[in-house]
Amino acid sequence: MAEMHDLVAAYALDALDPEEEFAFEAHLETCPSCQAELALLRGGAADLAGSVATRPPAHLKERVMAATEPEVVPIQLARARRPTGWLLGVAAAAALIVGGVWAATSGGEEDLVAAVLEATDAQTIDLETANGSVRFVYSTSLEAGVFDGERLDSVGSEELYQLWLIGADAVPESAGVFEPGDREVLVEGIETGLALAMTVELAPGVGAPTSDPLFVAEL
Amino acid sequence: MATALWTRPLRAHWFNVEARPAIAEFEKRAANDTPDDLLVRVGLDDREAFSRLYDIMSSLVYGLALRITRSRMHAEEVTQEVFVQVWSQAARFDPASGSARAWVSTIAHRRSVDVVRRSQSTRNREEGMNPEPDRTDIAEDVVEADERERVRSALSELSDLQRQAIEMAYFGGMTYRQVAEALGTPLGTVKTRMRDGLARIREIMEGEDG
Repeated sequence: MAEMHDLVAAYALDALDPEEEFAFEAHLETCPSCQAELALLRGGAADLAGSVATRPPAHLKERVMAATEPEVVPIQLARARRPTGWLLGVAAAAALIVGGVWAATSGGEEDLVAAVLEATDAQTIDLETANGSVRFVYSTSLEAGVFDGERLDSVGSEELYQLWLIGADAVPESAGVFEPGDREVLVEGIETGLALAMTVELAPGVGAPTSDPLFVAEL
Repeated sequence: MATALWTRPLRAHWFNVEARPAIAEFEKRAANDTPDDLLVRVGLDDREAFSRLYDIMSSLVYGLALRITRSRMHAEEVTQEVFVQVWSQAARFDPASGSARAWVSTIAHRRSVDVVRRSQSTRNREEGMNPEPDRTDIAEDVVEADERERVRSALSELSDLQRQAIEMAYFGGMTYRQVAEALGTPLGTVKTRMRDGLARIREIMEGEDG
């Protein structure tokens, strides 16, 4: 594709017609030589940009920081109801808990998962997060909940999801870690008035959250 | 019961938790932050890294947008849009396939050119002619003089045709076909000059950096 290769510089300068640009981008996907060339030439273009560098007015930074303030994730609650469908259906499956607070060793844990799902006071919270929908079923009488992260997006290979419980002191305490796809993450220590939150963290989890929560739900 | 929102006091507390080993570690390394490091961290939603990246790169973005759009108002808008895009897409940045400077300035250039081409096509429809750029709105007061001088010195080493072709496209927002027409030069020659000129600039600047 010698012809396409000739277009790298013009592409690096955003100087292709729309049709050519479209064709070139398709070619670029499959051409390591053009990718390498483009990296070099874009470096040259960035140097050019440096020749006109001009400090922006100071107020612009505030605007930029405000415009990128991490979004508040609206939490949509289902009415409390008995769990149905995707969570209840897997009540017998083994809890998949990776690393973190609890090791999935005892049969007692599975029993607790099943008990929570069948508890008469079980409440269900369905949440839409930026990374997918989740469900949390909990029972205050059993002081435990079961978190379903099956529908969450995958995260980086070094990352996992971490749950947090936040009490009156507003300090998040780790409630365990799990990987996307895990359907039955047991969360113990549930009581009314706590909030449950979730972040993405580096494996094997952290002592305090380092990123914004994907949701926070009061229990 | 559930909160509809992540309430501010809670959020503030979240960020002020004292025991944040990862962040403390980042801050220790902060003195050696390169744009590449910062952008990677922005991809992990690191606000501090984003703030620092803005401090380091905003002159590049704003200056380029100002040069291309020739309007402070447009340049501010473009700068804001660019950094919003940087914040939301930083996780896609791969240091192996180019520098953070190149990544950010590519976004800035594209946005600036889009503004110019959009307003040109609007005005062309309205007036049936190419507008003259408004030169009265270029900020002359505060410039990043050192960086400018280094690149201008590199530019002076290019041939006239290389420099013209690159500047007309990069700063003028022209396509290489328009450049070829304006210069009365064959398309193939323009493409070659653009390529050789850009590579030469990089070569000179990299030599200086190293």
